[in-house]
This record gives sequence, C-alpha cells and structure tokens, in this order.
Amino acid sequence: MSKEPQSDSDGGMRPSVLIVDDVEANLVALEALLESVPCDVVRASSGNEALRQLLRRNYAVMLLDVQMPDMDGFEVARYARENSSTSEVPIIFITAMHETPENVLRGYSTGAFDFLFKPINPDVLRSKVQVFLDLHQSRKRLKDEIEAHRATLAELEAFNYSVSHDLRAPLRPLDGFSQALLDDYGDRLDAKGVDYLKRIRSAAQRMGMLIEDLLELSRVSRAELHRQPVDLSTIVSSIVAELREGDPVRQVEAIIAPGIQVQGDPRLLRIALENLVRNAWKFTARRSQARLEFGASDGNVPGGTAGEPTYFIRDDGVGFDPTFAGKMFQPFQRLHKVTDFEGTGIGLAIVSRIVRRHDGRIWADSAPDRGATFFFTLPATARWAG
Amino acid sequence: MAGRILLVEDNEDDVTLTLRALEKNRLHNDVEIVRDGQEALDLLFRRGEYASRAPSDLPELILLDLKVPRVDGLEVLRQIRASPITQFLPVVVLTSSSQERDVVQSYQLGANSYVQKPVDFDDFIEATRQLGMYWLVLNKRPPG
Repeated sequence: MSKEPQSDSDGGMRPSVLIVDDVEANLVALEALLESVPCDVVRASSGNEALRQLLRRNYAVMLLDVQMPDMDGFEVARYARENSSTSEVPIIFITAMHETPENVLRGYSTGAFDFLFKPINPDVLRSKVQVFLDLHQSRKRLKDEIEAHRATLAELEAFNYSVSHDLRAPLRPLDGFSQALLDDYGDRLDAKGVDYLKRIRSAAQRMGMLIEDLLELSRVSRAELHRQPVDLSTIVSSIVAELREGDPVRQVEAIIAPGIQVQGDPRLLRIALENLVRNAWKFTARRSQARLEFGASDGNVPGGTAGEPTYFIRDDGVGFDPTFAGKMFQPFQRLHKVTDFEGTGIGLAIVSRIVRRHDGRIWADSAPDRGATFFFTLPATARWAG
Repeated sequence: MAGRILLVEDNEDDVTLTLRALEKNRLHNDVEIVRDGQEALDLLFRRGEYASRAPSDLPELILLDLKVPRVDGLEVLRQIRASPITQFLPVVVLTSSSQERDVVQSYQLGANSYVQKPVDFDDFIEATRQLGMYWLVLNKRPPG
C-alpha cells in the first residue's frame, strides 16, 4: 500500500482498469474494446502478476479471466479479498457460461463483482466497466468529502480549544478588577459609580456564561454517542435534589414518574434533562408553591404521535407565547427579558441537539402564565417502560 | 526560602488577581511566583538561578497554569511526577479551559485537582479558600 503511486489520490488522473488473461491475444482484444472508455488499462498475464499489480495502485475494476493455468481467476479473487488493501477492488469475471456455479459465488461476500460471458459482447463489456468506473468516482468523491469534513472538524476543535482558553481569560481581570475597585475604592464612588462597576461585572460574567454554553453546544454536537440503558427518573430526581440544595427556600413539588428507562447516552441525556429541569425551576420562581412534573406517555399528547413513547417535563411557571415556540430551540433565542429571567438562550438549543442526536424530536406546549410542557422522543430507545 | 505556594503563571492580570484572592484568604505571604514552565522546573530541581537553594526548600502546593511559556504546564506536571524529589507535591491545575482534553490529560499526568478559574471573582476567592484549606491545612502529606 505504501508503494501506491499518487495516481488515484490526485483528482485529474483517469481511473485504472486491470485486465487479467494468460492469452496475449485476449488482452489485446480487451484493451481494444476499452479504447473508448475513459480509463487507463493495465495488463496482467497471470494471477500472480495481477495480485502484484493490485498492490501497486487503486484499481476501479479488475477484468479477470477465470480459466488460467497455475492460479485460476477465482483463486486470484480469493487472494485479493484476503488482503485488506485489495479486498475492495470490484471484479468482473470473464468466463464461459458453465463455469459459474452457485457455490463459487458464495465466496465473495466482500466487494462488488459481476460476470461477463464469452463470447464477449463489446457493449455489455463497456457498460459494465462504466458502472464500476462510476462507482469508483463516487466513492472517491465521498472519500474526499469525508476527508474535508474531518479537516473542518479538526479546525473546529482547535477553534473551540482556543476559545476556551483565550477568549475567556480577559473576562477574569474585567470582573476581578471591577470588584477590586469596589472593595478598595468603593468609598470614593457615589451610587452611580458603584452601579457602573456592578454592570461591568455582570456583563463579564454573562459573557463567561455565554462562552461556556457555546462550548457545551459544540461539545454535545460532536461528542461520540455511547448508548446504554439510562434511568431518566433517577437523573431527574438527582437534578431536583441539587436544585433544592442550592435554593432551599423554594417550595417546589416535584412529581417524578419512577423507572423511566431508555437507551441512550447517559452523559448527554443528563445534560439535556438538567437544562429542562433547571428551566422549569427558573420559570416557576415567582410561584410560592410551584409544581414540576416528569413523566412518560404513549404519544397521545398535543403535537405527539400516538404509539410513540414520549417523555415530558411540565411546570406551572410563567409559560411563553406559543407563537414563538418554534424559535426557542435555536441558539440565542430568548422569549423572556434578561432582567426577568437570566440565561444565555443556549440551553434549549443544547437540549434540542441532544434529542436530535438520539434521532428524537422536541417540542413545547404552553400559554403565557399557564406553565410550559416540553415533550421529547428518543426513538433509538424504542421501549417505553413508563 | 520558598513560599508554601508556588504559583506558575505568566499572565500579569491573573498573577495579581490570584494574589488578591490569596490575600483575601490570608495566604498571600507565602507565595512564590514563576512566570514560565522552565523557571518552575529550575526552581523545583535547583537549577540555574535556583541552584543554591536547599534541597528541602520546596513548596507545599503548586498552582499551575496550563498555558505558560517555554515549557507548558502539562510537561511541568509530567516532570514533577517523574522525579522522586517532587513526585508527592500537590499540584493543582488552575487554568482557563474546561476542555475535556485538558482535564483528562492533567489527571492522567497526576494532577491532584483541576480547577477552572472562574470569571466571577467572588467564586475565585472561594475556590482559593477551599484549595488553601484542603491542601495546606487538611491534607496529610507522606512522610519524608
């Protein structure tokens, strides 16, 4: 493989076709027939030579005579399939009709192959070769595209890394020295001056949150999905417990349906649920007695599909205007003023990406002051244990 | 005489803020600052301008930024763990990033803690208080 010339990897070159026959006259005839096909034809006059050729470059297709002395065509194919660097080369066997018993075909489970029967019909030959040339082209294009995506991804990774390190760093002195000013020189400032410094601090902190959330959004999009059984009820319970601990004054009744099991990535699902439960917690802050519910249904819900396991988180908070329900899963879309409820507007975008990565759907149902319900499906989980 | 805390940090803003946070917790008298990874290694291994130090003159806690000039933080950490003289020194990685790669590599190389420097200075004061309390007061070090 290492000796492979650059012929196949740089775009402008024509694809190569390997023709294999022990009879010189047949090779000449095949080459002549392929004259009008846009490809480079390479000859091999024995099975061994064919295998050597296959290692040298990436062939779009091999035309392989079945009947050869020493090593017949099927044997050549078997050897080619056994070597990982040649196993993918498509093969057109050239054979008399009676030489293609069923059991011979079974051996070639990897890679494409086809048959040409003697006497060879030139049009059939050319069209079959063309099929494999097209296949080769589209494979190559696909490979190039994947390569380009990989490069983009690596760049994105580097970008995130630098954002995480460098973009965040200047915010610390912004916040820290504002606080230092307040601490050390606060007595020389009037109320307005103090207020300005506080605003600088809160802006810096907000920017810090934005950066963290954006990094998280990008992280959940790229993170590898590790599917395993996940108990959503347990996760929701622990999130609620954390929230209670951080805010012991709040009176929130949490009704969590037990034992809701799904298949999914536990880390990502936790991030999603955390965002949803925190939202419910946040948007019920003005209720002296708030209520939060987590459960599962069989899809008989507004916007749901009957029979499809659908999970939901419901609160009795301020809700939102349903006119904007579709927008809120986009990053930076906020339906409430920052002064009313803080947040970066990225949380639901993160949830939405995580649900989509599980091939699911998320939507919401609400009206102002009538609470909100967020529904989501996780089809990959396929089982509703609610 | 080395401080009880060695701060490895090149950003002057962060140096000032870290000292201030330590000061708020009355830990600032015991801090020695080096501005890059090479200097940190010189100090710990008594090389260069630190050649005349006593072998026992080591910090009790190292606060290590990952992005420091010359020798980066991870390499400093690796060398600290590779030497019998410094292998047990508590090293707290104190840095901007929360990237998984940084966190994982730091722990793989034997960091004792990984703390992302918070933007909110009040949180930073609290973080340094807890670090000082844990590593300089509660934590029991191996003998020798």
